[in-house]
Amino acid sequence: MNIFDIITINVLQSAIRLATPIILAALGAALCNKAGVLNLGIDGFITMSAFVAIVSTYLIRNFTAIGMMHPVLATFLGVLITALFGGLLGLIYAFLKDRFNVDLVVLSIATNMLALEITVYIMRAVFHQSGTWSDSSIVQLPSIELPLISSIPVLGDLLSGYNIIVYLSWIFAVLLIVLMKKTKWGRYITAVGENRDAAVSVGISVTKVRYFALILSGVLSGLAGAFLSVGHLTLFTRDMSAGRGWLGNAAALFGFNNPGGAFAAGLFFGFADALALRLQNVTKIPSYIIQVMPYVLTIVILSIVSYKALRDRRKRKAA
Amino acid sequence: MKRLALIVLLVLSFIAFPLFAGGSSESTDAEDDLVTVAVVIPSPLGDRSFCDSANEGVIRANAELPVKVDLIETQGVHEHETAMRGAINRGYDLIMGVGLDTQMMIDLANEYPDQAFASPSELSETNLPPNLKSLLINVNKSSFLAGLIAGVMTETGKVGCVAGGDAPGINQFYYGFKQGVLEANPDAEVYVNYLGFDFSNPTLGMESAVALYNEGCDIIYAVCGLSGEGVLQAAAETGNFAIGVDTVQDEFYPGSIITSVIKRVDNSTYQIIEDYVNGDFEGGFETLDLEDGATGISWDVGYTTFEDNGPDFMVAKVPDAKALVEEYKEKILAGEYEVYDALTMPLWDSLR
Repeated sequence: MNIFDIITINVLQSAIRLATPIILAALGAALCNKAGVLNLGIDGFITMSAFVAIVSTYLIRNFTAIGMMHPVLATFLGVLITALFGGLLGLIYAFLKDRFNVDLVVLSIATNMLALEITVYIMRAVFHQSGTWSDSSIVQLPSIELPLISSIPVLGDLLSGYNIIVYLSWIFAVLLIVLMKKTKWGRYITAVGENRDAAVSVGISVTKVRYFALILSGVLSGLAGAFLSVGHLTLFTRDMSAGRGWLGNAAALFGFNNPGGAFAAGLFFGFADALALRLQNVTKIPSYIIQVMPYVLTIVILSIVSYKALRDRRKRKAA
Repeated sequence: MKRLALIVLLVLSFIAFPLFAGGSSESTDAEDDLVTVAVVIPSPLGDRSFCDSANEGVIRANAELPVKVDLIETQGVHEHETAMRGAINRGYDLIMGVGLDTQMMIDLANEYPDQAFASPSELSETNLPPNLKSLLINVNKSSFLAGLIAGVMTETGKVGCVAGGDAPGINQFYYGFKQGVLEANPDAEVYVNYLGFDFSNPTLGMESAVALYNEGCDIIYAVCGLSGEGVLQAAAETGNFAIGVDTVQDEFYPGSIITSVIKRVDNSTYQIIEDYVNGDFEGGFETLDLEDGATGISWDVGYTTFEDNGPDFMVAKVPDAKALVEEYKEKILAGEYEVYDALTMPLWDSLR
């Protein structure tokens, strides 16, 4: 069997869909790590955002004139509200860090625990459901065929036909790469993360950098949550993020906190999941071996990447 | 600033107090003459599976029997033993654990030999202490019936199963189903995707289903808890079909879900409580099956959602499927036909 029989366009598309929330989480985590504010609350942000996305979409769809006339628009507005909600969470984090010097790790533990329970609580109190909530009036985010690109053979199928959040994850990745590599603001962020006191001494506003990083990571988590509940599916389940925020944190470290690296690492995790599903269908390899593969692959690639980084560092030292 | 923060904190705690204090209900002394029962479930309600089902049994028992049954929800494996010990200390007459760790149940039963314990589902161990009762619902035969339906109704000759994890408890569903498909349609291919014990990941469930539909399957049996919600949605979105599990899921996406394999944990919960009230409680392991009405398919309990909403070309095949189901059900009940049981048998060559 040839490798292209296993890795088909369908597998790659599935990989991209599975990777999107991880990529969004990873970009946010990488940015925060660069800015020296470890945000481990992303997983909780995603769960809460997934809930906010479906509830706000439901409310707009059923209780506003716009939503009743344009169901799809209601979903887009729901996504927008969720992105703002995520930003608000980031803002609260930044405020608490900045004003009260709250330990973000402790805060994140609380956030993650709260996210799991509060969503279930509200679901139970308001919608009288406790594990899964959905409403048939909610319309999923439509898939968008990109003009021009979708007409290219093969590549068109691969790069086109996703919902807007998938494209946004790519746009954000590019913007963040440009920001970090090419702009002064990007260097400020790195400076604050690497040596806060030095940054302060040259007049960089640590506060601004932290607010920026935490709010943007919140917006990205918001989009990741919305992707889960109204983009990919139209339902909310208890613990919807299912650890994707943590995977995002891991992917950020995996990619050395560079946006490009984080994007690639997120994509890799999605690909590993999709491949694990595919291999079960087309090969006779026992499923328990297939299911450890993503983890083994992670270790292998991480070893290669760190070895290369180590060698580069040595080379630089020698030179 | 500090005062403001304090006020905010106070207000928040007032709001939060009723939120978190409302969880437990105290039993009062006035009900002393009633038999008291505690039912500990392994996760919060809302799993649309055995927790919710056990709760239905609790509600029915409270309504129909002279008992006071309390349902105790837990948040995960770390709370199970605490919840069980808490229930023991509060002096319930009978304490039930639904789907909790087998060894823990046995240890507790040995530690408190005068306390009655029971499990209405998922406890698969034949050697039990005399004060522990387990009712295990076998799902292989009902899954087999669902397999027959899938075998008759598939258009493409390819049928899939998205299973939560590669473990005997889940494989009991899968291999029963596979045997059914092959019995009805020997040329059919049966695919399985395991999700690595990810039972609350509908996103992965959906991608898994999409992969199987892309492979040419047109009917998928979803045996993966909340992840299955994604499978069912994938069926509706891609215009294919699915078979639900545990509870009646036919109405989630009318016309896309052919039937559901149901597992009546409500009945087994009720039955144990009833036995206890009547003084018939006896420790030991017992299985329930098709013949006990503990499991079956949604068609048997009067659901016609698919017939009413499904596409004509599929609905046209329903009578054939029904006839086959009836034929095999009789054979199984008469002991003329054997269905593979992953919990107790080594894998048959015909199912490899």
